Amino acid sequence: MKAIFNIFLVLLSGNLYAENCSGWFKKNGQQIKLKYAKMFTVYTYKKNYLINVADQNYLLSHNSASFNLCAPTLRVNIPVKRVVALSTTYIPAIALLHEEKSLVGFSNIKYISSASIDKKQLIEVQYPPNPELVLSTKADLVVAYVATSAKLEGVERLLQLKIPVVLNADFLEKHPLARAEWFKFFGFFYNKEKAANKIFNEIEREFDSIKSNVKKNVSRRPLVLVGKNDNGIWRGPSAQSDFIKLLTLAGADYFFPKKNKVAESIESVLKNLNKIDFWLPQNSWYNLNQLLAHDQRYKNFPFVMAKNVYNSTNKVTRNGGNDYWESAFMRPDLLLKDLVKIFHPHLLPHHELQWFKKLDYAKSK
Amino acid sequence: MLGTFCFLLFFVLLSIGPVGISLSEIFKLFTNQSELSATSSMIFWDYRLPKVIVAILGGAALAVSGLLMQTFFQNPLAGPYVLGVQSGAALGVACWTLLLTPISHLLSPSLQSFGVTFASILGSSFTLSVLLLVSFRMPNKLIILIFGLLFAQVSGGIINICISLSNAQALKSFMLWSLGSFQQVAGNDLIIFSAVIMLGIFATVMIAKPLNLLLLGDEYAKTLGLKSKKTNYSIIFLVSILSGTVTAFCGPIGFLGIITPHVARKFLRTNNHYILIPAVALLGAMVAMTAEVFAGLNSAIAIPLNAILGLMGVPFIMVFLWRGRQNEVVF
Repeated sequence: MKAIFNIFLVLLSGNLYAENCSGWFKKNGQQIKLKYAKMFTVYTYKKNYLINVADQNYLLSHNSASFNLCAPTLRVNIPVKRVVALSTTYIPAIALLHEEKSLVGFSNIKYISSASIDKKQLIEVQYPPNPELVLSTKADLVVAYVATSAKLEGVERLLQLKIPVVLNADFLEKHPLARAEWFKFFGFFYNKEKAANKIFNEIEREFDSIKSNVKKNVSRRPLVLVGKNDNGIWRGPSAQSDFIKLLTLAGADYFFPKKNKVAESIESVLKNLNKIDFWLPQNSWYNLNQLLAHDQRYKNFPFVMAKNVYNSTNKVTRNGGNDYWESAFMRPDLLLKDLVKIFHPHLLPHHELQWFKKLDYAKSK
Repeated sequence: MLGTFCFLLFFVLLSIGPVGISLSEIFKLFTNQSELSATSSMIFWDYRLPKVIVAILGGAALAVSGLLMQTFFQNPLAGPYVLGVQSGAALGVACWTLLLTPISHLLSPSLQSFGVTFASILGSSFTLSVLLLVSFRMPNKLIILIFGLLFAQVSGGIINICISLSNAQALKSFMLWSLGSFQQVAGNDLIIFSAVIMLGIFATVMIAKPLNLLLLGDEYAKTLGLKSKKTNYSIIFLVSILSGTVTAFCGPIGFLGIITPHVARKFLRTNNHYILIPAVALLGAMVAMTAEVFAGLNSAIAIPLNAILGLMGVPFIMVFLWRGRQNEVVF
């Protein structure tokens, strides 16, 4: 009986030692306030950071092994020197923090648009990530996105092999500025908190200035259709998405203002065709020929006849990597400028479209 | 009776949709007496009518292809898929959508315009050529069947490679194509589609006599004067053209081709192809239109055509076969 009691005591003391870091930092640390991002939180305690993402907590420290006050999901020694990224959306943060040389591996190299990344230095680790290739990079950090199934998408296998994987949930953010605040997330790992804050503050300042300019000077708000018709169903982004929020801030109204999921019969669009001013398909079309090849009935749409169709295919590499999906949502200030330039060009006469282009008929080669 | 059902479904399908166009207005439209608004008129002539025409012809083509395959192989499980033509079309579309779409701006505008349809026709024509070559060299139906199935496997493997190399956007496009739809064909495409399908069905009626002879068995048919090689080539060619065209324009549409000939035989209790071909065509059109009616009933939920066909058709057929007498299915 005494032996059982002793074992119980040992187990209990073990549990006390292994107190979850989330709880410990909440009690003893100080929270670093984030303005817009909701999908991660940060606490600090004597130059140690604890970042929580999707029920995982990462202890960032200059010597993480010496920190034994709580048990995190993962210990990371900062600054990280060798990083593997599994999404192109992490590249703008790495580039703006001037840490391009730290990137040693990527899931599908041909889709990287950023010119500042030396693709020859990268090992293609594939997606789902091949554990052997990831191990060969000798990375001290792998940044992966929160997957629907960690097992199916290979992240669980990396964790089993003790590969230091941190999850990123920037794509789940709702506020247009929230994704840009994930620059701070990378700032902590590179021990460049101040630089990341400075980048974010500049983005926020520029964003607010454009926003107030639109608020003051826009009297008529054009109606905008986003998405395209597939099999008789119009599919587009949710009215709650950060893109549609940006579109609204740019002084325009979305065609489906109250829909959380847009998969509507094409007829619901057709009956209001004359009210629509602009169309942003957000797909891979480069010209009106491709648009009409998809469905020649588009030629009767008033906004197609007026060539008021803008698509996010202005910056596409020869391999098909589109910088819009890589950078635009990390730079909401520039994306907002693009949208304002489309809907109210007089407000930004000198701005040149970054990611969007006005679709026209292609010239025969 | 089938004709009457088809006629009724034709008008019901034309009247269903988020924009209200009543049956009486439709009748007036056909007699040039109606004055619909420009929008309603566009919805009717550019969207609803082409959709119904494509459903009728697509359904008929797949059903007739299924009948041809079941007669050719004398096997009730045969359908338009077994020759691998649809797999070939899917392979063409996968290569185009998953590998070429991201760099389509590097292609000439004329090639961009052909797009998916061109890739699909190329894929199905390639399979057809291989099949005809095999049937010239080895006039054994079993070997043709095995080649068709092997080709489908190879296509599936290559499609999987394309999927693993593609980006999320291209993958979504391919997935949407693979769900099948009668709603994407219009204008010049509709003219080409209609002409090919009608010619194909007409040509099938022209070989009804050899098809009837085939049911007696190859050897006996030969003694009755059947030119079996010529008939075989004709069947392979027609199935490839009919099912390949439907796949090229509407995506891979399952279920219809296998099951419709069974229902027609059950109803009509005959194996005479002079009767079966038009009946199967009408029944195929009817099933396709019914699926579209179900799809149009609730505009708030987008249900893919293939899902409707499977959910609607399989339980019905199971009950139908369960209650019927097994020995009435003749092969």
